[in-house]
Amino acid sequence: MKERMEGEQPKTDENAGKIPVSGRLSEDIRVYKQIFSDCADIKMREMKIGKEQNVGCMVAYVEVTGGSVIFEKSLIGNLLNSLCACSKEEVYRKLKENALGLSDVTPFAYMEDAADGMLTGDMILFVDGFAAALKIPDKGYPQMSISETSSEKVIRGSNEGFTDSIKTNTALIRKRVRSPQVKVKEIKSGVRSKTNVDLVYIEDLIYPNVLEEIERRLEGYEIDGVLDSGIIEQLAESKWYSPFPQFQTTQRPDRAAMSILEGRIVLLSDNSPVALILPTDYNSFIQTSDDYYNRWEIASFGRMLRFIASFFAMALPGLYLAVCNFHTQILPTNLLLSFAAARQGVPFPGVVEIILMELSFELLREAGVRLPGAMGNTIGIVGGLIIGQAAVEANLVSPIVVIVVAFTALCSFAIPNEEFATAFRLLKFVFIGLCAWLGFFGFLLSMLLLLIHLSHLTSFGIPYLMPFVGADLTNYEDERDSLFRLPTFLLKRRPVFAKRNNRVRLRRKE
Amino acid sequence: MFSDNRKISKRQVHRLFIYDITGVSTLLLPPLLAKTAGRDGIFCIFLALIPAYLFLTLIDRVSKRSKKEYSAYMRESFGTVISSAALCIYFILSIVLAGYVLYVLSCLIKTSLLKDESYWLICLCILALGGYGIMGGIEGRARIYEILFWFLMAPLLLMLLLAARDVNADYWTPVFTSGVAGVLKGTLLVFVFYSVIYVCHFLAPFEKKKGGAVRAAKSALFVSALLNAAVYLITLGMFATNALSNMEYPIITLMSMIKLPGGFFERQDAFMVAIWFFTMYALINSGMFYGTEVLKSLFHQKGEKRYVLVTVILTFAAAALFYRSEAALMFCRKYLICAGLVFLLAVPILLLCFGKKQVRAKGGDLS
Repeated sequence: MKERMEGEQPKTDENAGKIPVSGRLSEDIRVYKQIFSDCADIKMREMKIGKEQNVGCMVAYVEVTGGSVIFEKSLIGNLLNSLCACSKEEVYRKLKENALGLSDVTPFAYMEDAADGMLTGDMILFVDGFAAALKIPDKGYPQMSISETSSEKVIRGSNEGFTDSIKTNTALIRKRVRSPQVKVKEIKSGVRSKTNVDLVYIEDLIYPNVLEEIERRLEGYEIDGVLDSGIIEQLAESKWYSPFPQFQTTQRPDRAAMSILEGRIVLLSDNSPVALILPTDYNSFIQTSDDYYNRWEIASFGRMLRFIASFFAMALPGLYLAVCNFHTQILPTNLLLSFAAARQGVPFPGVVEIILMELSFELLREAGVRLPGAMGNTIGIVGGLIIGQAAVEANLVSPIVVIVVAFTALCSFAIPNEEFATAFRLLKFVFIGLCAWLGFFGFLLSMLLLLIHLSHLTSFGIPYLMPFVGADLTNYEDERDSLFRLPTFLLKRRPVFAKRNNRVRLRRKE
Repeated sequence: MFSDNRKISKRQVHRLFIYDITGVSTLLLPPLLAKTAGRDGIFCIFLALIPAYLFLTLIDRVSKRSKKEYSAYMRESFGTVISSAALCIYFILSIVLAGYVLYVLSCLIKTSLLKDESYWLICLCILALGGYGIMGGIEGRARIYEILFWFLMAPLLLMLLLAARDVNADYWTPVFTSGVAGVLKGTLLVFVFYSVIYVCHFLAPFEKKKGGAVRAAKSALFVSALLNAAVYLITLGMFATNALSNMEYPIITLMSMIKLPGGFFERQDAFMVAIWFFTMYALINSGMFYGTEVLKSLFHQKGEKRYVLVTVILTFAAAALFYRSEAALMFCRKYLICAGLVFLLAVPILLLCFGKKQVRAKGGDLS
């Protein structure tokens, strides 16, 4: 007797070439074992169920994702126990109708689908005479629990951070926006890794063409494995040569929730605690979550500082070189003399000094990131005190250069988004090179090059420099939340990311 | 996607025009005006607004009458041969404009920032950025100047305000001493600088709202006239007519003389060159961009890159010619500008007189 479950996959082109679940247990076990041959971590347990112990079945799972086969406290344990008390006919009926009320059971008609289902971390149950394999959730893959984010720290606001599990991450967003309009679209990415990728958005706020565009880009490539959202980010961005990220990243669920409320789409990838937010712009990278939790005056001040920091993080060493090597006339004589005195005895030209110190600093940063916590802190002290001080005392670099490099580093740390800050770290060397070669003209060239590049850059159709450019798209409303953040009661409309006819986010009750 | 529509807002057009007009005029106009109209130069700046506004009205009339792209309307009205010849002249004018401003900017950079560096290197660097700039289309260009506007205008206005303290108002008077001929010559000279508004013809397909470009150009002209008047009065008040007429870049000299109250910097001229670098780059970029657009419409092509390359090469050739040959520079200043001006005015007048009037048909199609 072969029972068919409702909802089984129909025979389509997509399923062509797949092996159907036959309903003959021995045959299904043979095929399944063939699929998972030489996989020591895949466990397959055969057993008998039914009142007379006359129905054969097999439970298959990845070793750590299931408990013992007795499964007393697990869903499958309860299922098997209850099936053991049923007659053969009742077993099939209960399985067919899901009469046991299992919360999440998925039937598969094909062996390949059953195998994929098991690899997501669930258990697969084959029953003799039943032509479908059932996916039953169990404890799943091991994962880290919810912890504080290591970056994007805030003084005020939630400290929860995303985890490696995509399900936990979507739940963390839904916990904050409890609306049925929040949609989660699941896509599989990676031919071999079959990574779950979720697109989270609020249906009535997004532009459907942005969603279509990201889906098109995700489907536009075939890759072995997607092990982190960073891989998706690089494959889906439109300008590969730009140092500026075209997706915003966050490890904070509140930031992600805030983004979907703005009409943006959050892309979550399994095994990655970093969510991608799209579309994005320069302004969004400078904003932090607590900009909206704090009072507007301090939020505006902090934001302005970050804008200034982003400029100095790339331009200061270059400007120093341009002024000291080419246009000393602009400095007051006293300062010029103290610069000259500080450089006395230094054997290198200014540009070599700057590059030496910048590279040393980048090395320290790299070493600090790779080393474990306590040792990472030590690296800072070693770098700051020993290398800096020793280099000055040995007359290898002037103290002014140490100050310039330290200030530049401070500015780069003030940029809230790591990927965005990286762009400025790289551009800094372009500025250094051009300023060392062409002085202030080199600085102007670099600035213009940067501006042209940024003005050409878009993220899913949104100009990267919004709302400083093209603010007419939103009737100049977005300028209220840019360089300065106006008081919350004035931020009545959603930014440009949201659908044009659905931009009101705040109104006073009558 | 919603931003890649090759349309720019009125604010963007307005700012682009302010840069196009103000950059080169504030740099070159004061000595030229001092030479031709002396203390009456200030009147020339405002008198030149009259022909400029009339020119804009002409452009507006043609645009309203055509309902199509300017080049297509010319072709329909004058036939392929004449319209192609006219487009060729527009192309040459755009390239000469870009090449001349490139030459002036390269010389300015060489004089004020990099005395020992090669002219060619400076020229090529700016040109490379010019080429890169037009690759992003009209929206990319508009965005740069929309964002830069107050970053450049605020320091300029501040410096002019500070410079105004040391102005000797006695140098401004007496007025009406240069005669009608001098004033007319000065007015014509200022109008030459204002005539870059001819690009309004080619802006129609990029406007978000029909007629927005002409309105933006009108207000940009007024703002530019105010700025030019301020610069002229301050430079005249600082250097007097004789000295001013013999200076190369009086505004840059002025910037080096301003003392910031409680200021940290001894001299600001190196920093202030940035204003003219960006504004003159805008004009170079405009010349190259509209040159490329004209070239594309001449060959009925949509592709960008090869036309950009042609424009870049020809702009460099023009800048090289002006640098190498004093005669070419003089020829350009004396004859080409006048001939160009006559051409720029004649074409819309002829179009108004002989062009076919297009009316919108009932079904919404053009007839």
